[in-house]
Amino acid sequence: MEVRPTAFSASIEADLRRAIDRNEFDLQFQPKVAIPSGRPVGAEALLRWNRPGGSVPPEQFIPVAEKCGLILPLTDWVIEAACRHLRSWSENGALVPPVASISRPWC
Amino acid sequence: MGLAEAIDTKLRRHRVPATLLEIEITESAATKDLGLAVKSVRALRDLGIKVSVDDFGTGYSNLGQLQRLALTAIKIDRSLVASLPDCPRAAAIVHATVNLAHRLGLKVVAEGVETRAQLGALRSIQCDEAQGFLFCKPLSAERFLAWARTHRSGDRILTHPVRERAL
Repeated sequence: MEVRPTAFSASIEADLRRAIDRNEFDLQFQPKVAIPSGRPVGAEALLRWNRPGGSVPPEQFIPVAEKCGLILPLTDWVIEAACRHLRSWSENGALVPPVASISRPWC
Repeated sequence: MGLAEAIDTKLRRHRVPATLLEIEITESAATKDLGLAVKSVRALRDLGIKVSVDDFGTGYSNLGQLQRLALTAIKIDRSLVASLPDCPRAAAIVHATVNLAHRLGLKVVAEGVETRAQLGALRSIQCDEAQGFLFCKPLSAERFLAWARTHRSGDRILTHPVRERAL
């Protein structure tokens, strides 16, 4: 999708740069189950931006991040956070399932 | 530093086995520069990281091209899953995709599963895995850990999906 340099995306870009420094992101996990047993087999990690004044859906800020190069530090943040959670889950004695990270590393 | 190398560094630092990580790439990103994608996916797979293609069914969905990638799974887009089981054309596409993916040694994950009827259709065509609000909404890391422990045996999800949805 083509992202035009509107005032909206320019404002998101400026805020995104600050958000990375201010650590305004977190990961949510969408469980995956096996068919037909229903056993948990993993989770897809979803990136959330808790922007002051209201959270921003990924479909709004990911295209902007891809356009302005911020997708690289964001991808780095997601993988770092996913690794930290995987470590923490295994230390808590969980049967750790694979985690799927969101990623657009080839753009 | 390439992506695979950067991920490897993080996995080592956090002492996380590479087999626990899966990277999803979108179909459009994978086919935009297929040559580069082939190399990048290979590098990830050589480390033991799983790689799947996301949003399958939203673009041209060319498994002929995607088979050049050393993938482990494909994820069928929610727009196709939403048409199950009532739309025979969507059902035919999903069924054929599952068969072909299995022949290529790939696992198939259905995204956006919201109803028991959709799950029933996916079950009948041997789709491997599913995610969606029928099972659970996205959770924080702490709540996911609790959820995974509670549902370790799996049975309650399929017998009481509506209850789990309210989590």
